[in-house]
Amino acid sequence: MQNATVKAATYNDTVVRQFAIMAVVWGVVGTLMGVIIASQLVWPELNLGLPFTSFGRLRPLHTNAVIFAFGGCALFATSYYVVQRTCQTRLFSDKLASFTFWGWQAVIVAAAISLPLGYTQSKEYGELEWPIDILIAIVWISYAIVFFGTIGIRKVKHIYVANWFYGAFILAVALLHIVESAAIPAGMFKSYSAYAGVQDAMVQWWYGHNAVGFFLTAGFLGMMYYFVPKQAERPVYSYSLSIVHFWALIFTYMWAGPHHLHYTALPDWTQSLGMVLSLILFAPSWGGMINGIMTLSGAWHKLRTDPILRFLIVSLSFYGMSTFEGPMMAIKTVNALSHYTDWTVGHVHSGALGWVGFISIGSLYFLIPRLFGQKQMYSVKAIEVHFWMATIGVVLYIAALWISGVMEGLMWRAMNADGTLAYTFVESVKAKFPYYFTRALGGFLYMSGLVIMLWNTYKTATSGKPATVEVPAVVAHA
Amino acid sequence: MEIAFLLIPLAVMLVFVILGGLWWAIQTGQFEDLEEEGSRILEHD
Amino acid sequence: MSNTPSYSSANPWQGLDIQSEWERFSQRETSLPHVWISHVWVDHMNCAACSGRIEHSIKSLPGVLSVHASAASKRVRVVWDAQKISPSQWFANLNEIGYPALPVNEYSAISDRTVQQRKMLWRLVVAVFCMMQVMMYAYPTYTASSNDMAPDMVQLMKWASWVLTLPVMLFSATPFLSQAWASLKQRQLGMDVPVSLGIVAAFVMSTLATFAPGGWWGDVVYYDSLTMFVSFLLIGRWLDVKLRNRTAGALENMMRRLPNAVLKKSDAGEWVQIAASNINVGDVLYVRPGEVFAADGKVLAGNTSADESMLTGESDPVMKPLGASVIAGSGNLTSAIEMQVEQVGEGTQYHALVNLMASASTEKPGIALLADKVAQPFLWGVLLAAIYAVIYWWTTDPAKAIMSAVAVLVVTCPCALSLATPAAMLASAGTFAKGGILIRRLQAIQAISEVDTIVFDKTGTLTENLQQVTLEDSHASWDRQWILDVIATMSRDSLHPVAKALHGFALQHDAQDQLVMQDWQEIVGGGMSATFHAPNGTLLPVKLGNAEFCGVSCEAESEALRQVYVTSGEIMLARLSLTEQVKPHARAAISQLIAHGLDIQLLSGDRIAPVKNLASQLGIQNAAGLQKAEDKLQHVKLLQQQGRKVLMVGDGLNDGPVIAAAHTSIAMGSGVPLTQAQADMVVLGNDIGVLVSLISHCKKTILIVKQNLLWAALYNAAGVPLAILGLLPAWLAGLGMATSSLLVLLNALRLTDWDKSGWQKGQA
Repeated sequence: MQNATVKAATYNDTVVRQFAIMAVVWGVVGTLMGVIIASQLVWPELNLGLPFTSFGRLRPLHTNAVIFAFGGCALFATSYYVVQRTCQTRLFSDKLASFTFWGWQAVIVAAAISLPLGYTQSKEYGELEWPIDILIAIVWISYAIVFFGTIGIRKVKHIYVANWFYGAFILAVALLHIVESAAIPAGMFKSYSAYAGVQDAMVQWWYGHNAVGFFLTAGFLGMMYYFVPKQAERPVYSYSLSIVHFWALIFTYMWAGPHHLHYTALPDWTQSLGMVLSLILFAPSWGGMINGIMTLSGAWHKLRTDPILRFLIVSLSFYGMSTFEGPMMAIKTVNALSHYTDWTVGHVHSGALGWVGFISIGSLYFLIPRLFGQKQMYSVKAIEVHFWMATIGVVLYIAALWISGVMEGLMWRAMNADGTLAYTFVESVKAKFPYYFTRALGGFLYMSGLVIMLWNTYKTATSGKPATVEVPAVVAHA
Repeated sequence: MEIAFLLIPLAVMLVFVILGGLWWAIQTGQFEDLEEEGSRILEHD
Repeated sequence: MSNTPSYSSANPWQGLDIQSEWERFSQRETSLPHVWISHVWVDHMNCAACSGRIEHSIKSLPGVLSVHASAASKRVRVVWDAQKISPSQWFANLNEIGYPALPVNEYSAISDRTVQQRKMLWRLVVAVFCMMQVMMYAYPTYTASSNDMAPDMVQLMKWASWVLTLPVMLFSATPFLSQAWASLKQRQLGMDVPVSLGIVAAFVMSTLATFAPGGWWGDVVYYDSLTMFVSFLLIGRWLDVKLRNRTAGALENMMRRLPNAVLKKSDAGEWVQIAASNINVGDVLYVRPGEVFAADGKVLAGNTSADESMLTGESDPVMKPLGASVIAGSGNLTSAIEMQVEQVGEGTQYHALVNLMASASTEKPGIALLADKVAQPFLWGVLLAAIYAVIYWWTTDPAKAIMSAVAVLVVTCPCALSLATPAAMLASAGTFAKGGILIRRLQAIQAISEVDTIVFDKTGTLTENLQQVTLEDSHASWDRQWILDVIATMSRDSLHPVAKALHGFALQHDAQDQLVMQDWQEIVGGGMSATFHAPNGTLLPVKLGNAEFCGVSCEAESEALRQVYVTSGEIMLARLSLTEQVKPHARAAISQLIAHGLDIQLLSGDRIAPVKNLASQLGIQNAAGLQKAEDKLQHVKLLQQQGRKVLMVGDGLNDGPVIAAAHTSIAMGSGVPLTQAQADMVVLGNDIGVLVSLISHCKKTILIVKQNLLWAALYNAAGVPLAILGLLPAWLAGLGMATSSLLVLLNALRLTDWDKSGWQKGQA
């Protein structure tokens, strides 16, 4: 009993610390995978002739590692931190929270083993085989219980907008995961999708795009709505707008998926619908972005001295850029040029490296010193260096793929006067070589930045010690 | 497109769930004193 | 700390347990017996954690049904069952957990309004979100090429749309449907009847087409038009509610100004917190800087300045030295003071102001009454047109017949027509209220816009209130200083502006106002009398007042407006004269008014010479002095016989017949006792320059009303034939209706921008 009362007065930052550190670790691992496969595209010999290291097996490992390992851990860490701070209460269940950590790490390790071994459902972003899918579902439901349980026992009546975003992210991902992963097992490591043909494609991109919407957008917007105001030390530019942003986004997101299937067997009307809804999405996205950036209004000078704030604000400009680019690419005529080219890859990375990566890095830099009882990171200079390496890396990466994508699209559709194709496929591959090289270089820079961050994190953690923070006492004001 | 018979009812259901959430939020006064709530996170750590 | 609340008896709130007491801060929950909703104010509730604590604690009491605490407004709303718990119990509970509470009066009207606005917004949100979803399902049916969508898919889309339309029909549209039903039950044709008919017809047609396609109703669904139409209607309603609330908001700001609790000096000499509603005349209150005075009174200790802009329209702080009067609703600016209460509640000037604003906001202007009058025939016309559309198309295409009728009903939605006038009038009234002009009758806006002659019926509106006093003459055989002491003492307790000026004058000349005085009396319209001990020891009856009152037979000639005499029997002790100065901007304002073609006249009861003098200073051609009320009335009637529209500007007092005879009237001056002012408009503050922009803004308002009405008429004239001919699909009709209402509202919103400094551009 004694123990319980002491416990109730502090936040559970242990699990936050665990996830935060693992986010940095997986960030390095995931981007390393990216650098390897980007290099394989430049120098194919790098696949070493082994099946485990071939592009086809490492590519899903890369995407899973950056999205679910790095992004997932960052989301777990920040959501646990934010929900406790904004509700002024300890996590609903320490045991369950600890389970989500170990369970999630188990999922990642299982992915890291099974994917190179070639076990896959071959659904993009949903490759993992059914036993791992079940583990994901269990961890995710535990996550939902911890998160919503904490909201349920909150000491502050109002639920801060970041929690709405986190909450929507958790619920939507649960739903998406269950519908997407429906499969009939055929043995321990093999299963067949419950859907067939174009139905499967539809479900796949209903899942795929909503994963972008709810995992890579809603969750990280939750992060943005807490850490940007915190680091800028001023309230969100318009809190009412942030509420509108939330509801508008979740009302309009669900149906943008078909734009991934333009010019396929999917019925035309579904494709047009996907296109229109993708265009509509532009409005709430930009509303949110402007709201985030304008939070700094009157404090722009802080950008000059604060590299963490710079990470956060630049992430918002990338969010704005990719949410403008996305709807544009969903227009069927534009898509006719961009689809299946490197432009798509560039677009995804401007969102992933620029938006998701930068917002997570900024938030983690805010979080880590506090978790170890420090005022700031071990080296602020290193954050500065990291910022520039990451920024240059992203710019090199997306600029290279824009050029190569558009060039590739134009080469594919170029025709001679007699109606034959002007270029063979391999000619377009050859033409992309310099851009692939630049892309690998950009990726390498981005990864090196994360390595510096890992070092900085290690130094911060070892020079401080795990901090225990007390929940502000709810006292009667006398 | 039989899948639509799963996805569309699911989406319609979801709209009602979201409307329900919105209704709950408005009804319990989540959106009163909004600007004050926006700055509250800056108070404690 | 001396000002911490202290309570004496065991449960000091037992007094609240009488129903008449708790009714002052509670309303009945109409749906449940014995259940009451109470609002209390909690000073120490500073953060959300506090509100959580309060809610948690009170909710656990048996008999408390629900609690809602808002830290921002420091208010707690408690719903409780009078059979199970009494207010003193939960008051005591609040105190125990460290949050002493005080009852809040008059809170219900305010919260009702916000509740109403919130509910309207919620209906709108539901309608808009469902509309977007329905649009999404409607979109493929419009764009898909003929064989692209399988029939079962089309059917699925219809079902989904139908389900998503249900909340719109059952929740969002209920205000229209229920109001239409209510008016039909009273055998009347309300504004909502055609709209509701349109909504229901479209819904029934679409439902039939969804579940039983192939009948005469065809298989086309109109869920998108329907939800869009309801959304547009609600946007119009919501803007209307918002606009009204913005106007009423000025009023509410006023009403909310008074503090809920004050610090009162108890018999034991301690500062005790009491509810503002419990203040009595004679109480001594402690008012800190930044607080609002809860009652009218006098400064007892301390020296401060006050912000009276809310009540006078003048933004400069007013010095409040020891002994100065402070008014309820004004703000204490610089330092803490003690004040003695002289007037509370109904008796205060503040209360009069609130009542005045409240009555104006419920008034319907004549031009709106006209719109109401034409509404009935208009609505019948719409119904007939709709029926005609049905008959016209029925034989060829029944589905088209119904939908053309729906289009007629929707396109003519009389929103624009009914919004045209009140939107503009209310926008202006709200703007005026913010600028310190109160409108008693909205009609006045129209009346003022038509005015061509302005008659000032008092010199006071054109001159400074501060009167310059000169001691012209004093009896040689009496001590001059003693005479001044008498003047100071006699005028000490009078509120009359002349007496105040005299008191100030005497004090300036080192007079004492504490002579022993007996039988002091003030005679309205005359002066004051009292008995003094003369320096030689005899009892001396003294009169101070005008010539008539003092029995002075022949007045001395003077340029001064007024002469005041001090007499004792036949002896004239002193003669004083008062002169007034022209207000700084008066001349410029008058010449501006003249430049805009207005004839300016001055009628005054004062003596001829000073009136003429004043008029020439101001550039007024037509001026007459020594005017009695009958003379003024006759003059105004004469002007009206010449076809003039006369605006009377005065202090609004004692001129009932003249004001009634004039086309319209304005009372102005910061000293105007609002309770008695009879004018159509009251201008707080002394700046007559406001008149110029006021008149031009009234003209602009009427211009906008006319534009709005014209627009509504033209729009209907164009829309109805198109709808009958079936050229207007339902969605376009909805869009047209929404645009026309929106234009009317936006046009009216232009009136919220008011430049107080002069004649507005673009005005004749």
